[in-house]
Amino acid sequence: MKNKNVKAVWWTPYKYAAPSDWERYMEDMAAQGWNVDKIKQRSSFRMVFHKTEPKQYRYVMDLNAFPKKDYMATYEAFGWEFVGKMASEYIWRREYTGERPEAFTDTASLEKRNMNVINVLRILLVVMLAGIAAVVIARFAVPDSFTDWVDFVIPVAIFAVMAAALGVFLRKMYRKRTE
Amino acid sequence: MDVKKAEKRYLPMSETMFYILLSLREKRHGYAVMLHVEEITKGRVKIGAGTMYQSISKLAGDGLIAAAGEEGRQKKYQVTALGMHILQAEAQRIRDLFEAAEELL
Repeated sequence: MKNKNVKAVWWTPYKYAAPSDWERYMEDMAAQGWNVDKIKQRSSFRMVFHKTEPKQYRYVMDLNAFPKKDYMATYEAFGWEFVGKMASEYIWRREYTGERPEAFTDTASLEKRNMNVINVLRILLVVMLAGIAAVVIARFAVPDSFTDWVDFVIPVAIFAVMAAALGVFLRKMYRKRTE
Repeated sequence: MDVKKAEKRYLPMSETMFYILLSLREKRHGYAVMLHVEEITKGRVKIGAGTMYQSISKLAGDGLIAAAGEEGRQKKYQVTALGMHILQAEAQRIRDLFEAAEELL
């Protein structure tokens, strides 16, 4: 029987690609009484929410591949609760009343937070395009290694679909790079 | 970072950077800087945790501030001679702006 107090949502960071959209989504869920206890790597695929009292949370997503020793201590001193990590995305939240608190209080740092994510996706996009180029070059350089047309089309199609998806994410994020 | 490079990179500087450097004339950790900046600007300038960490990392990486002990898990920082030079150059720039603005009023 389905448990009415648990809700699993798939692919949330992909549905809400821009960090500010994902934060708002998590805050809307919290306001409806759907909360997460802890965020783990697998939460990027399947986020498990538990029914609680409605909460007014401010969520913050902050990509930090090489955090220094005082990264966690700084956020915690400012009153943020560490919820967990998805890859290098640190997730923080803070319960509040009144004005919605901000972790990034000027445009330059907010843009830098967003550009950190955008730059990672740009590298992935280049890798996908390089994958397509490698398959095409191999097709002409070593034609004998491709015994069937499927050997060529399938890898190109996989790289192309991933590159297109990354392109869509990048476009969404770039438009919201100062949010 | 040499002086010329630092001047090019930091002048003019954002209000956030200016107040952080100004506050770090005394040894402080990020949270104490935030409180001090709020106090001296009478609550007008609020610096969040992400902005503080990013700014302090950048300033320390470029040698404008340096680690100066720890309090609990938080590192304290203090402005260096290079940081002081940049801060004074920015103060001079703001004074010039102020004088130019005065003529308008």
